[in-house]
Amino acid sequence: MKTINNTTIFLGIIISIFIVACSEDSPTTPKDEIESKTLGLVFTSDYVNGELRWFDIEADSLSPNKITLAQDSRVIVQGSQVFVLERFGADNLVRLAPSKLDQEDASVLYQTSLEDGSNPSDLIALDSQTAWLGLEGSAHLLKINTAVSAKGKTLKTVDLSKYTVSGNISPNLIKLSLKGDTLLALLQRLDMYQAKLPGLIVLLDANEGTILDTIPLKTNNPTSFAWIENVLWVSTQGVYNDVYGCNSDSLRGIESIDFEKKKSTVKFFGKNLGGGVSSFTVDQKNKKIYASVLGVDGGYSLAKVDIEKNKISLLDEIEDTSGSLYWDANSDLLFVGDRSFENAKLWGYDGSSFFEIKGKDVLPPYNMAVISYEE
Amino acid sequence: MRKTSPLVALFMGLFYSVSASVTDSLTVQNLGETEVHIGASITENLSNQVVSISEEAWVGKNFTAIDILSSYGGIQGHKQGGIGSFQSISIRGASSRGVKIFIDGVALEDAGGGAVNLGSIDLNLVERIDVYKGYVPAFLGGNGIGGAIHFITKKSVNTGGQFSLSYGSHGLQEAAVSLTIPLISKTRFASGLAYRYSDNDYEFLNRNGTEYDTDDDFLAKRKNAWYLQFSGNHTFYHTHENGGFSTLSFRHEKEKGGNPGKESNQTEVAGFNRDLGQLFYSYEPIPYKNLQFTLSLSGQIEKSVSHSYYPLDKIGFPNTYYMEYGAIRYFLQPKIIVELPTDSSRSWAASLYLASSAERLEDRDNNEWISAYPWHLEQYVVEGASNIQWFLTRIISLELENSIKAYQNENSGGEWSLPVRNDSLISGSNQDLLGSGRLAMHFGHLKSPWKASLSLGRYFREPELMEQYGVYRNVLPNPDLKEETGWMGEISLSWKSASEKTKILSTYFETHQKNGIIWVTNNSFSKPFNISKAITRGVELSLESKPTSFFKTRLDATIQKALDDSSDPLYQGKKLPEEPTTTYHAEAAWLLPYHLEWSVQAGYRSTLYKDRANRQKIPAQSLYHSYLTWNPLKRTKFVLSVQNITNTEYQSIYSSYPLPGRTYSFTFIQQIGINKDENNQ
Repeated sequence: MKTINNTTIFLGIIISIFIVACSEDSPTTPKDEIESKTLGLVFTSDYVNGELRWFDIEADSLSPNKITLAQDSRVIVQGSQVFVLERFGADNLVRLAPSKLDQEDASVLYQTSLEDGSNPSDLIALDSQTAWLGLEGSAHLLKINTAVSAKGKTLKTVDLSKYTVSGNISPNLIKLSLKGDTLLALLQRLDMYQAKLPGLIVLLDANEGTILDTIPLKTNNPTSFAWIENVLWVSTQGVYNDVYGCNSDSLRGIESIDFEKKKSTVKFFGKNLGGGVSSFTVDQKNKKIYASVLGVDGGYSLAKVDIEKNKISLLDEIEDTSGSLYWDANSDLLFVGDRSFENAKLWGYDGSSFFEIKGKDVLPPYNMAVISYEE
Repeated sequence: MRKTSPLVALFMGLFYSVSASVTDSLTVQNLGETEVHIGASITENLSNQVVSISEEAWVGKNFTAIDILSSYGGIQGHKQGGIGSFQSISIRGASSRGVKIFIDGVALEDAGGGAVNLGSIDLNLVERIDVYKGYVPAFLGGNGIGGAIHFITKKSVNTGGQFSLSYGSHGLQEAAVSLTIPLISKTRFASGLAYRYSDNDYEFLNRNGTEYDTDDDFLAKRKNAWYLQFSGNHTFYHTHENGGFSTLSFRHEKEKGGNPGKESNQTEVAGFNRDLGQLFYSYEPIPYKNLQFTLSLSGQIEKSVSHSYYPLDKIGFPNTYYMEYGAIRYFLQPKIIVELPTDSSRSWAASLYLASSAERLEDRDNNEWISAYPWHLEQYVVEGASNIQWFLTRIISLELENSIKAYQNENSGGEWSLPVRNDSLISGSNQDLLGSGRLAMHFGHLKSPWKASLSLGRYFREPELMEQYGVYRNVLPNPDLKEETGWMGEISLSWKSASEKTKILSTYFETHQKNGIIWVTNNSFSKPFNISKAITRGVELSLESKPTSFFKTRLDATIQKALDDSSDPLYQGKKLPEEPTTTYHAEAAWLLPYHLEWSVQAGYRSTLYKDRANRQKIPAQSLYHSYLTWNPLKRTKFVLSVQNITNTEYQSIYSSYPLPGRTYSFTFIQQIGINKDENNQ
């Protein structure tokens, strides 16, 4: 029997240690690589064309490639899934593969035509297979199968027509949210696009779609809602004035809802914000709301609301925030779509200063989302 | 480029071969003339930029005005669908409203937003079209960035007339009759009536609005695109004892049809109704010391109302009401034209145009249920134009045109409602004073085979009330439209053979326009918007020839660069929407045995974009048409027409108003009594 001497054993141990040590720092083979990527997705539109662009969250330039979509679309991220809702006139549900965005056609997992005029407004996923799809142009709320094989097939339909203002088609569902097993639907209840009634939140069983309760808002024309801890914050724009602006008054602002008591209170009024809130995004960690405020003259300014200090400050570096706002909790960055006339830009804000995310031949930003996925 | 080269080669080949083969011994070609004075321009004969198109270009061929006009150099046509659909033109990059449209000297100001809808003009009532590129003659009021199109209705001086019937694809039915009869001594009456209808139910590929999913594409038929028009023109002509001449005419139009949606969102009941009545009187006394006067008064009432029902049509605000929206317009315009032609004692000529007008626009809708309030708008205008021309030498003349326009708008206030917009009109008034001018030099004697011209003009245009507040088929107004201004320059050189059987014209043009109009189409509506700055430069080439008694041809080409020059970095340097870089048109006709005539037309248009950002690309297109005419009897004619032989069509899915592919029509034409052609023969 052959014996192994001490030198051989020593060399073997050294080599083993070396291999193990190297393996921790060295690249693996491509087969085993799992890379995590975070992309900012920006839907851009000049009201004629629509295009989805993207950017590495740590970079400062938009992709030269694009995916062409209907001019009025909304990009939504749910977990690792990316959806685009092509709104009124197109009325499609689109699902994209985030890892294939550079290959335009290949990135479209499906593009499903919905009922004409249904005007999809929001989507919230229950899991990787099912989601609720809100329709602004229809009195129906849909539970759908979002799997690629099912292509957005409808599983359940909830009738919301009892909340429709007489003479209109739908109660104008514009946002959805989940709180445990409860699904929340934010209704504008417009009458010929005029916000004559206060908004309404409908609470439903998230699995069955059974209507559980409602929470009436204090002001008209709600535009968005979001949670900060256990408080639901709702932005409202109110009615337009003669020049399609919003007056600075007490008829609009930001409401907070005590979910347990099902009661809403206006915490920040339009007269302090400078007009009606057309959209907002929340920094849950720091308890701040960033609001795009539609002013008296029809311009869109950026307001920062510190809900703990009850303080409103104006970030006046951005001229026109109608290109939407998005707070990314992972990077602690605010993204602002600036649709200034003949000078549209996408901005990032790190809490102290703004930086531009540049792009070539890019349409004005319209809305955005951030996706993290592994490939 | 490779695709188009055979057509380009054909074009160039025909151009040179025909040019070379022309002899001067040929007789004069009859281009068609109007005997009745419509207000002539003293400069027409000097400018290279007037094209006169006679009715033989469209009779029996199922052409619309756009089809005819866009076959000429520098003119681009834009269509939203089949017969009766919204159609407009641009000339040398000057947007559609920059081109003034007239019928018998009276300007058309219909509700078609940023442009007169040429789709509503029934050519069966038209005898001639005069196209003025780059300028508007003083007798039509002067001032037009792109120029003017003047439709002259049938006014045969002799007794007799014409009757025609057509039937064709997609339920096309046309009937027209025109007749001139003497009533009493020195008075005659000319009348024309025309009817046309089409289902416009052509087949197209419906992509179901999903560009990335071709599995759900299907062939569909165009729905709710039907169109019906009944129109007429009735005129009394009377020569007074004192030698003066009076014209009294009544023109009427009734149009109705569906407002079709886009390919993936067709409508069911949406539609429109338009009614127009126009009374016109003019008096031309005998010339006083060579001064020719024309005094006229025209009045017009036009009502244009659209309707839709959202639950079926899915257009506009979602609601359950049957919605009607639109306006009625009252218009009155007295006008004086004075012309002083040259004579042997004077080396200059002049013309003067003076007019004023009052216009009122009122709501016509059923919008009380959304608390809309009545509104009305008024506009008062005083305008003048002059043209003076000096013959500096036998071959050089200088021409100066000026126009000035003062207007005042009065707004009553009220609530204004459309399917996609509610607006509060703020009461008040505004006024402005605008001026234009053009300087031109012409080289070449009137009868010289060679002529050259150069000109530079500055123009303006204020938004019309109807384009700001009226409605039309698939078109919405825009109350925010701004005043347009522009510069147009041109250098042209022309040659004609001594017999005038062959004419060649080449023109370099340049148009600079501020706030020119483009059309933005969303969902089922198009709406005009201003482009802050645009520049178009290009060259036009044209050849008309009839080298032998049995063959004639016309070749036209435009090569241009039409760019958006606005300060928005997204659009700056992009191609202007609907403006191709090159267009070619070639047509030829052969007289065959057995009283047959065969004509073919080929047209090529390079790639164009439907939008300012140049995203909605429409590939280059070649279209071929063929017509066979048979004259079995002297006064009887049959025409078989096949248009778009190759069934070519392409639309961007995002601006998808389907267009008809190949179409057929058959026309029977019967002359009645003696007509002018027989006189000419």
